[in-house]
Amino acid sequence: MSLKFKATSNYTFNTDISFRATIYSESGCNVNANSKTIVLGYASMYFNAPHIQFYRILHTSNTFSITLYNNLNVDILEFNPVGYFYTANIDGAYQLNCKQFIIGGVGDETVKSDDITINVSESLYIRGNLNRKLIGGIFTLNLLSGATQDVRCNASYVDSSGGQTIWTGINNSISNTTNWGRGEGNLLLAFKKY
Amino acid sequence: MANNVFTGTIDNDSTKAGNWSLGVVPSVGDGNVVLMNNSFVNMTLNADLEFDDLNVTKSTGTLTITDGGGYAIKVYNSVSKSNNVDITFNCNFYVKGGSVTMSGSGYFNISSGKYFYFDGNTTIGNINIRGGGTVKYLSGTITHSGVINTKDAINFDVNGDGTITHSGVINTKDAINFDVNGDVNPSATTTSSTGINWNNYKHHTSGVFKAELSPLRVVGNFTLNGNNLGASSLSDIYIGGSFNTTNTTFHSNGTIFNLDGTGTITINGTLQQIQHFIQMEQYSI
Repeated sequence: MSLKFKATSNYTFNTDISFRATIYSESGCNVNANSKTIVLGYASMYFNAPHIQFYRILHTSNTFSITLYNNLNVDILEFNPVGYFYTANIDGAYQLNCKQFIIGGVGDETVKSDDITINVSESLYIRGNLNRKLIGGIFTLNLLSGATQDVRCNASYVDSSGGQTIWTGINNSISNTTNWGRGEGNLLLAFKKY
Repeated sequence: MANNVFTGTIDNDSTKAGNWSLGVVPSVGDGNVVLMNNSFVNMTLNADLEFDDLNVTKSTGTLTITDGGGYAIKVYNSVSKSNNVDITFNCNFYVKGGSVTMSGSGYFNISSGKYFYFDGNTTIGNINIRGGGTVKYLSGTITHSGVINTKDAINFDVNGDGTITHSGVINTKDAINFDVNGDVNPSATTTSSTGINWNNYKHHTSGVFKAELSPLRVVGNFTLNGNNLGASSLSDIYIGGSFNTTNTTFHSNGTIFNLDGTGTITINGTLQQIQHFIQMEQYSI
């Protein structure tokens, strides 16, 4: 099951879309996401749609995977689980460019990837876990210049050398990370204030 | 012009003049109308039955036309039907030209293995076809201007000769299988000389629709109504207008819905790949 936006296509999303299959795009297509959400769920989702600026991609339930076959552009990439301990796997050696990257909800969700590069340009909010999928893999998460952060997560094998240092909570754990710190960023701000 | 009704006074043999109300077997150019009314009884074709005009007004009971040996009904001028009774054709049925119009909720029920042929210049208004048979377009300039309703397990097939224009809507229910050689070009119109490009298409209920052997083209809007719909096409589906679903959980295998025109996407429900589960069992020795 796939939706393919051909080069001549000129479409606007009228509703949120609950989708567990594949979206393609061809160069020249004109797709207006219209502030609508792609809702992920049980089973897998595949993107080969570098010509579409999605507004929001949302995960709320069940363990699932996203596979990229090209770069993916989205305003808001949000993991907002309604249950506990879900795992989301993101596959594909491509750039996932988002303005806001959110891991929240009730559930201590773990997002894993080995080869994706996530670039966050506006804000980063994490209440969950980041990790590689397999031995030898690295999760690349770049918080670009000017973006804000609010992070309380455990991180393992995460490389953030392509952007700002990411500061997580003092009580969180980090291991085998690059350009990550625990609590010091907030402490430094305190020194400056007083 | 008089009405000729198969009353079956002798038996069910279509070839016996005494079974017909006018005392003569209908024929092309006889100036009469074959009237399938409540007096028309079940008939067995023992030869091709060819005539100009068919008017179906039967309003109660059932009616079955049975093929007695590879024969067909062939209508050369007009087919009209009203009321809500289905007529079962356990034989091939040819529209050799003219017009076809139906009103009411009754269907032409084409039995599995049998064909409803369009074979000549024909204008089609509303038409209801069901059963497990095949609607096949053989030749001629054929214009669909009304609503096509299908259900059960109808097949649509084209021969590639002639020109077909569809300007109405096709509503399908249950299983349906297309081999209509839809145009994959984004500039496709509702007129095609190589196949059928449907204007607007709506699929209802839980039947699986397929475009197994050739692409399915919808020039206008494509709508899925109903729950747990599916597609298992080997060929792609091309949509030039809006793509809509209504309370639909739509399962499909690798079918690609190509959107190549202008419109909106309204998804009420879920679109998803058919899931294949492999059950692993462990045995101890």
